[in-house]
Parts: sequence; structure tokens; C-alpha cells
Amino acid sequence: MTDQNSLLAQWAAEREVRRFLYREAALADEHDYAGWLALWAKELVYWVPANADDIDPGRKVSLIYDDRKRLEDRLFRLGTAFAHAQRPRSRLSRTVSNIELLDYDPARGGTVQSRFLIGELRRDEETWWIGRARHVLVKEGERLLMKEKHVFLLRNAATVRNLTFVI
Amino acid sequence: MNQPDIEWIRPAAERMIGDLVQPDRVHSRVYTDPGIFELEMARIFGRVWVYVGHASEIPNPGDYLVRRIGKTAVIFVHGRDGVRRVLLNRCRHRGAEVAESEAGNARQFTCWYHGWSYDNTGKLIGITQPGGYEDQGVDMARMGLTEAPRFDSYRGFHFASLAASGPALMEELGATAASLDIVVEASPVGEIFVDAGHHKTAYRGNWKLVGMDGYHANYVHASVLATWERDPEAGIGSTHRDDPYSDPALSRVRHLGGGHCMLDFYEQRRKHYDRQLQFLKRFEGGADYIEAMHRAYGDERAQFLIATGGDPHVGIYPSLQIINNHIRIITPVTVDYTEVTMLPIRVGGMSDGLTAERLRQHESFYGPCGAGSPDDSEMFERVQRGMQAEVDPWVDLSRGMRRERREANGSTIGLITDEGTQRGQMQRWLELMSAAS
Repeated sequence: MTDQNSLLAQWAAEREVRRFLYREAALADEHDYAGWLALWAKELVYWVPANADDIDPGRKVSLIYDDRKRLEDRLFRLGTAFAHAQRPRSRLSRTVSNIELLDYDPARGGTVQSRFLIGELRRDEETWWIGRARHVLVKEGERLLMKEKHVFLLRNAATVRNLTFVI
Repeated sequence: MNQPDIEWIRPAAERMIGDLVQPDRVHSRVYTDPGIFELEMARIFGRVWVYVGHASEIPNPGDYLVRRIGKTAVIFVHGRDGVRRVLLNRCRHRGAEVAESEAGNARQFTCWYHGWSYDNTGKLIGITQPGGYEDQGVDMARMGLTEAPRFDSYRGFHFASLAASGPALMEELGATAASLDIVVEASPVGEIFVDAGHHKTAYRGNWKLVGMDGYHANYVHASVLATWERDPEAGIGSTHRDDPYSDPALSRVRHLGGGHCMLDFYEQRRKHYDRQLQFLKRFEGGADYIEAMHRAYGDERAQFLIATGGDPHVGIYPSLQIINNHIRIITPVTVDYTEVTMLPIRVGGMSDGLTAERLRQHESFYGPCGAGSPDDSEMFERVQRGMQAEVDPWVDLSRGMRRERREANGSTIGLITDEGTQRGQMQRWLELMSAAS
């Protein structure tokens, strides 16, 4: 007989991860930079590779390769009144799905993969951003935090225009 | 949008060109008129030397890239004979593109429309069912992929021209050759590599808007300046210490002739040479790099090169810029849509730590997620929309006209906020556009 406790534990872990990713998506959609930043662990990697998914960021250019310092600078800048490419701000609505817990321990965290579809409206132009995300989550006390987030854009090798909202 | 009849509008465009560019102002139509855009493709991009790529982008036989000279797609390819060429990306039979990807390695290019194939030197090596041409056959030797009529390089930077005749590359590069030297000689071993990938972005605006503008920085990039108030070395802050974009600064705008322009930060950066040394030494291999540069070039030249940081901040007319750590290629697509490709430069002889830092600097400001480029593009798009107005259609470029001066070497120099760069570009534009080939 399948161990019902382990099934329950697995379901609870999946639910916790799902809720975390939904919360992250909502904060990003709302441009709540402080709230979104609070989801990160102290040491972090926020990575959006360019040209391919599997590049070496030490050797190849990325769209974003932020540590905490660079991410804080990024969000600070977006919070000023002069980030013109976000004036007016993008109106955003993102869906997160196909969530898979890979190498994941409910007590400590681990790697999670998901897919996203982001609708962006800015001025009169609607843009779809499609891709896959990989989160490395860590459990600190009762809370899950992001230690790493890697965003693999479907179009990372194609032309990318204004991508200044939080992806 | 209006799709005017080009054949109808072309003569009209020609008649008005001379009226559209005046010493101190330019008519919006220069940036908005599709007929003028078509004429630019012929008279500028169809004529002058246009940058296609760097030798290090195609290091091995078979390596190729697809680039564009105006609207003409070309393949920049390293042939099996070791020779680099620029070939038109169209089958000699019915015109289909023959390169299947934007970049790759290919022994041959096959047009899968009817199965004609070419080797990577452009030679036609096979046609299907040749009996259809009867006794005449196909003259295989003459039906290879068309080569760009002229092709030449300087220090690894390769240019092509679609015109069979005209000034030689070095003549057209003029004073900008020295700025390419600065790029290559940022390396103590005299070698750079354009092998770090790229940012490919675009904006809904005219290609000429990516100017060399020293006046915009403090306003378009006010958000970045706010970041530098928290940390002067954040991002590319170390290359822009002490407000280089205000008139009291030592930085200057220069028109080098031929529409080639630069924002000349050398004196401004030399003032901060000691801080630049400290900055470099923070990274693994930084001290070794400084020492190697002095050994390779002697103290005076090394100081110049280290202060400049491999960044001539130059715009080589019409479509190449070298800004901070990257090569920028501006590709006009339509009168109001422009692609911009930014390729970071890896400096030979630099440590992994410095190489990574230069990439992080680039990403901080440039590309679609950077703190700078998207705001520039936003401004170009606002300009493009604003310029649709036909009432009071003039764009003012008069700033600094009375205070600029001409140096003995022929370049025109102004304070950093002056518009001598834009005037220089428009002067070249008018010269090329007024002369039928």
C-alpha cells in the first residue's frame, strides 16, 4: 500500500511551492519591487541567459546576471521616476504552470521547474513572453526563499525589445 | 500606415533632399519618409563601406554569420580555403536564402528550393537534373554565390561595399582607424575576440536616431545617475566618473569627418586614472593586466589605453559603433524600425575575473534588460512618434554651433553637450544623398 503520509507530504510540498510561485508572479505583475525582493535569500543569483539556455555566464553575455547588489540596484532604478522605458509601466498578467519539483526536499528546499506565459500591455502594444523558469528554493524557518532564479526565454536568441519589468 | 508609391515619391524625395538638411536644423521627413529611406538604402548602404563582422566571429573554416548591408542579406563566411568572404545570401537560381541559420558552421550552402548547392567559398558545386539546360548547361564557374563587390578589413574588423568602385576602406575610415587601434590595443597581446554572444534588440524608430549624443545622458539616464549616487562604481559607473556629461567636464564631442563621430572621454578618464587602476586591481588578474599593458605599450601609451578602457566611444558612419565594452551594429529595417545588435568584446590577455566583470558592466547598462538601452530606445520611439507632425516639422541641431572649433587634423570639436556630432552626421548624409551614383 502506498504510504499515505508520504503522499500527503509530497502534496503539501507541491502546494507550498505552488503558492510561493503564484505569490512571486503576483508581486512581479504588480511591480511590487520591495515585496518581490523580500522573497529572495541573502545570497542570490537572478539569471536570464541570452542566445541559448546553457551558456557560461562567466564567458558569455546574459540578458541579466544579477547578484544581490546588482539586483538591488536594478530595483532601485526602476523605483525612481526616470526609468523611462517603464513610464508608463507595463501592465502585466502572468500564468505559471507545469510546476515540477526536481531534486526537492520539503525540509530544506531544492530545484523547481515551471513554465510561464506573461502577457504585457504597454501603450497600445501587447507582447507575449514565454518560457521556462528554474527556481532554487531554500527553506529558512517556516519560509521558502529564492536562492536562484533562472529564466529561459523562448526568444532569448531572437530580437528582444524593452524587457525592463521584473521577469 | 501610408505605403507611398516609391517610384512616384523618389523623384520628389530627390528634389527636396537639399531643402531638408540645413546647417542648424533638419526636417522630420529625413526620419519619417519611406521614400527617403529607400533612397538611403541605395545611396548610403548601397555605396559606402558597411561593417559586417570581426574575424574572431568566424575563426574556423565553415563558420558563417548572416548580416545585412542595408536590406541586402549577406553571409560573412570563413571558406575551406582559409579566406573570409562576404557572399550574398541568395541562390543564383531563384533567389532563396541559402544559409539556414543566422550563424553556424557549414561545409556547403544548399538551396533546398531546387537543390542547388554551393561550397563555403561560394562556388556552385551542384545543380539538380542539369539535363534541363540542354547543350548550354549551366556555367558553374560563373554561377557561384555573388560576392560583395568590395571587401576589406582593418585589424580584424571586416567591411564590405555593394558598390564596385569608390574610395578604399582606409580612406573612408579616415581618423577612425585610430579608434579601432584603441579597441585592439586594450589587449596586452593585441588580440580581441567577439565571441561572447550578443544582445539583439530593436526599436520603432529611424536608424539615424542612434546617434552619438553627449547631451542626453543626464536626462535619459537620470535613473542610472541616481544609482551612481549610491555607488559610483555600479555598472559602468567606473567609466563615467565625475559627471562627464555636463559642459564643465573635460569630455568633448568630435566629428572626425565623413560622418564619423565620437564622444571623446579621454581627458576626462585620464583625470581618474589612479581610481581606474584601483578599480581594476579589485578583480583577480587586474594588477597583472596593468603590468602587462605597460610592458607591451610603454608607460604613456599604456596609460592612455588603460584610461580609455578599450572604449573609443566612436560611431563609424553609417552603422558601426564601438561603445564601452561592445561593438554595436545598427541595421535599418524600415523607415521606422531599426535593429540593434550589441556584441561584447573579450579582451585577449585579460583574466577570467576581468572578462566576467566587463560582461556584467555591459549587461548593467546595455541590451533589452539594461539600465540604459531600453530608456534610449524609449526616447527614440517618442521622437519617431513626435516627428510625425508635419506642422512646424524642424528638428533643432544648433547647440554649440558658435562655440565649436576645428582642429588642425580637420576634426570639429565641441563641448560634450554640443550637437556637432549630429551636424557632422547630417552633413555626410546630405553629401551621400545628393550625389547620384
